[in-house]
Amino acid sequence: MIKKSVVACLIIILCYVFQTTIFWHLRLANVVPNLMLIYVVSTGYLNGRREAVLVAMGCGLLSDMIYGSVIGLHSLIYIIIGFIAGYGHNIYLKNNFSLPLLLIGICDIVYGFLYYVFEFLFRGKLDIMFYFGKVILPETIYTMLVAIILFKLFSVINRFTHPGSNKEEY
Amino acid sequence: MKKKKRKISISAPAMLVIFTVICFVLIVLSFKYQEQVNSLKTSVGNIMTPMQKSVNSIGESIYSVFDTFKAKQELLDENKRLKSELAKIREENVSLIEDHNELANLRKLYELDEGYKQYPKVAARVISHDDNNWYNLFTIDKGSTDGIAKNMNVIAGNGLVGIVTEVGKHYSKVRSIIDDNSYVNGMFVRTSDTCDVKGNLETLGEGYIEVERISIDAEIEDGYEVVTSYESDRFLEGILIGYVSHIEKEPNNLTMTARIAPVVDFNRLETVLVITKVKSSDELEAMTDYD
Repeated sequence: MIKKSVVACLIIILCYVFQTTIFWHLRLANVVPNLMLIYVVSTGYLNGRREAVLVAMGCGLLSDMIYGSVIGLHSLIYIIIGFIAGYGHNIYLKNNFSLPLLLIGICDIVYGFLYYVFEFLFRGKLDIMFYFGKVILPETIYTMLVAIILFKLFSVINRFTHPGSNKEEY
Repeated sequence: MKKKKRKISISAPAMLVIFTVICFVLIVLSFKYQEQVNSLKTSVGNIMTPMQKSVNSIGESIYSVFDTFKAKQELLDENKRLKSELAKIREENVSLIEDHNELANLRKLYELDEGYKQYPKVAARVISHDDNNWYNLFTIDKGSTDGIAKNMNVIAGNGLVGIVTEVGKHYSKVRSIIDDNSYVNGMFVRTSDTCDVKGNLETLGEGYIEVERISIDAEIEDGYEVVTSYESDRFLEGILIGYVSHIEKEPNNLTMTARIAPVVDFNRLETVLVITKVKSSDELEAMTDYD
């Protein structure tokens, strides 16, 4: 239990630091991939809803603390994402990598949409198609590209932190 | 063992509900107790920034490696082109020197040049950026120990970058003027007409942000410079923001809007200067009273 949470905390912090620094220098089409979202969705897919919500809360709080204007808003978005992603665990297939990628893509679109609603729609910015084409879609594609490598890495780490959890159990 | 199992047995939907409630409580609390929340935020920031700082330097070096690959061929082509241009420009230069002298005299009249050279400044490095693609906030590596305080103006080169919104021990957060939430009172140098410069994500991709509420009587043309206005309660006056273009009348026939291209290149912002002078608090209070 302790090992799991320490590893999770480390991964969240690393994701955050990389997302705000190195990947900013490696922007494509002016967007940064959302590494924390990849971790949240990977956790949901590999370990189910409960852990995903916990990890999501961690990610959200960190994001709120550093760059958020209001504490709790990003957390709310992330836990919703975590909960949705957790349903992916029901269709978990070992060694299938297209399924989680798709899930990450869908979740990133949902994330972008929720973010737009909370931060932009409430301020009267109505042109959703613009934001979809300019921010949400590029971010989703870039995130999915990065996820190809990152999900593999997370599932390897997961095998160490959750030695007992094999698909055979479910 | 049994205890452990009990502990984990909160069902996922229940967890979602609990955390959602916590989030809402946090949102309410952060509105109500802004100061305490800010100090909490600062302590988290104090832990995270050193990490971001070191990782960012790796990021910068990676970028510069990519840049050199990309740049080599570009530079060769450019060199050829520039050589031919140089000959032409040498000729032009002679006549321009004359113009330059005239310009220097005119500048003196406007005092644009000297305007913000007198302000005391601190140089800082940009160490991390906002974690999503919607806003334009960034962190610099100087904080309260270097004499930085909230609401100080940040410039780079010769233009306005943004304003300090949060200060930690060794870091501060800056909201840039191109941020979707940013709002600056501006003024046309040549005509002294005031305007509002607003950051906008929608237009940022095309390299400009919006200028609003220009008086219909203002005699302005494309290419006029906009500086921060003396009216502003947070920005020191006379800092160059950018040059306007596409001036249009609003349908209400009372105001005009325009586009402004910031003079600062926000894509490659690595070092900035913080003006360590906050606009006088008396003025600021008077302003808020007035509101």
